[in-house]
Amino acid sequence: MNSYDAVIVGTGFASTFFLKKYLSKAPASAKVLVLERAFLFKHTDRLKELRGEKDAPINPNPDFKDTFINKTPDKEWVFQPAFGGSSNCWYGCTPRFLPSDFKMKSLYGVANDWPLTYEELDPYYEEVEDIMSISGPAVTPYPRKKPYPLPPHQFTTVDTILNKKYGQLYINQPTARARVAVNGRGQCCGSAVCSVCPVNAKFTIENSNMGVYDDKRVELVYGAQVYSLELNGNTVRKVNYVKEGKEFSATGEIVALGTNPIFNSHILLNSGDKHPLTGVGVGEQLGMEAVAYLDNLECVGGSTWVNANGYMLYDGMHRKEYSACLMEGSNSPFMRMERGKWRQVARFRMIFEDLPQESNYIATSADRMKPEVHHKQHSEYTMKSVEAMKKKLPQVLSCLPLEKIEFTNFFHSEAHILGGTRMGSTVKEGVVDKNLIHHNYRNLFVLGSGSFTTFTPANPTLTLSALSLHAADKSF
Amino acid sequence: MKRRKFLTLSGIAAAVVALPAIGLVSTSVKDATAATIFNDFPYLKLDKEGVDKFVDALLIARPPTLAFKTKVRGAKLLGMKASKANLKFNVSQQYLLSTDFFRNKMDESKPVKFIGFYDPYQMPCSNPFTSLYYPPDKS
Repeated sequence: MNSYDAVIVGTGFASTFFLKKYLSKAPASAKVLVLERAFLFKHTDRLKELRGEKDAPINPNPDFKDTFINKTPDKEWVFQPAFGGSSNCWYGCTPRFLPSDFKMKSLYGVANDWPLTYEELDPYYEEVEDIMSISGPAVTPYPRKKPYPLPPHQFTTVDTILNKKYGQLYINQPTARARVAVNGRGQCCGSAVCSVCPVNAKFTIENSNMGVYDDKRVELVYGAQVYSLELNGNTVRKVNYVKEGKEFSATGEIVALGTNPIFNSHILLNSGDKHPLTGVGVGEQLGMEAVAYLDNLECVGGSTWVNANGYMLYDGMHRKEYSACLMEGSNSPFMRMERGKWRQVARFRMIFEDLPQESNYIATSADRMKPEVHHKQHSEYTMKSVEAMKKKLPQVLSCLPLEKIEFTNFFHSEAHILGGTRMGSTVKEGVVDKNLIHHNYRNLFVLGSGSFTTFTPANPTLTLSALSLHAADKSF
Repeated sequence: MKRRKFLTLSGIAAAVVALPAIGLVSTSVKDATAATIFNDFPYLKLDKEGVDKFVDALLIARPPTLAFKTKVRGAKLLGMKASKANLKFNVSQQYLLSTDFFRNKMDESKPVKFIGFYDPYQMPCSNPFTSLYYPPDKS
C-alpha cells in the first residue's frame, strides 16, 4: 500500500481547482495521488467521433447511465465519467450566485444559510474567472471588483431590448465560451452544440492549461474506481479502489473526494459514514422553456449559444413563498415554420431554484460500485415558482411585440447534480463545514456541488470551483 | 345481392384499400421526403437538385426508421407538408438550415440553394442567426 500527502478522487472541476490551490501551497517534496475511474478521451477524438470519421478512436469510458441505478427514471441525471469529468459535457455558463443566495434562511426564512458568505467567496470567484477566461459584462446584479477577463458576448436583437428595459437585471451571460480566441481556445461562434464544442472555445479541464496533472508531485492513475474509505475515529485511514478488477488501497494525510455528488455520497455511505444527512437531499434545479412569438421582430445577432441571463424573476421577497427563477436567452437555430415569420420568435430557458428534500436521496445497492438514486419530486417551493412565472412572464416581456407565449414541458435534467453532502455551520446542519471538510472526519474534504446548502437557479460550476479554491486556501 | 354485383363491389373495396397501399410502397422514401419539402414551401424557389442532395444526406445522417418511411410516404400521398407529417424531427427546418435561405436574410425572391447538410460538426459556425451573419452595426 502506498502513502501520500494527499489522495484526490476524480479529475473534474472540483478536484482540479482544489489540486491547483493545494499544489501552490504544498512543498516540492509533496506526493499526491489522483485516482480517476475513467480515461482521457481527447477533444480531437470526440470531434472525430461526432463527425463519423473512420479513424475515430472508440471512447474508452463507460456510458454514464450504466454507472448508477436510477430508481426514478423519469428524473434523469446527466454527467460524464472521463478525465476532466463533466467539463467534457458542460455548456460553459458561469454566472455567480447572488449574495442573497447564501442567506436563504436569514433573508427569507427558507431552508438554511450557507456557512460562508458571498464576500468570503468573492476572491475565489475572481480567480476561477481568470483561469477560465470568462467573458462577461461590465455591469452585473452581483458585486464584482474588476472587469471580466474577456469582453461580453453580443446580444440578440431581443436581448438588446430587454437589456435596455432592465439594465443590470438582464445581462450578457457570463460564460466560459470564449468571446475571443484565448489560451489555445477558439472563439465561440454560436454553433449551439456546446457539450463538445466544434471550435474548442469552451473551457475544459483538458484545455485549461492549469498544469496540475503535469506537476511532478502528482501521480495520476486512470481506470481506478474508488468505492469506499476506511474510517477510523475522526479520520480517513485508507482509500479503497478497484483497477482492472484488482483491489488496491492508498493512504493519504488528507483525502479529497471530487467525484460528482452521487458518487461522493455513495463512497461515504459505502464507508459506513453515519452522518444523518449524508446522501440526503440530492437534487437539481428545474427547467423549462418559454417560447415567445414576436410580431415583426426577428431574434438575431447573438454571438454565442446563451447570450443573456435575466434576473427579473430571481431575487426578492417572493422567495419567502416561492423560489427564484433565472432566465437564459437562447440563440440556437430555432425558428417558426410560418412564412415570413421564421425568426420572429425568442426562446428563454426558465430555471427554478430548489431546496434539498429528505425524499430525494442516494443509497447503496447490492453492487458496491453502483449507487442508487431516488428522487421523488421537486419541492412545492419550486412548483409554486413555476406557476408564478407563468403569470408574470407576459408582463416581464411586455416590452417586446408579443403575439403569444408558449411553455414547453419540464426538462428531465438540468445536468447539475446538487446536494447530498450539504454544507452547514455545525455537524447537525451539514455533512461538511465551510471549508468542505467533513464534520466527523477531519482529514476528509468532500468537494463539489454536493456541498450546496440550497439550490439557487444559477449554474453551479463557477461556484463549486471557487469553493474548491477557498477550501484548499483556508486549509493549507 | 347478385354475384356479379357482389364481385364488383368487392373489387372496388379492395382497390380502395390496395391502391393507397401500393402508393405507399411504390414511392421511394427519397422521393416522398423531397415531395413533402416542396409541399412545405410552394412559395420558395427551391432547386430540385439541391433538395435531392439534401435528402440523400439526410437519409445517411439519420437512417430512416420504418415509422419515418411510412409517415413520409403517407404524407406524400396525401399532399402533406413535411412540417405537418409528425416525422419526429423537423425535416423542413433542417432543409432550410442546409440552404442559403437564412444567409440571404429570408428573401423569398431569391432561389434557395443547398449549401451542405446542416451539422455544426461538419460546418462549424454555420448557425445563420448569429452575429457572424448579423454583425452588430447591421442588426
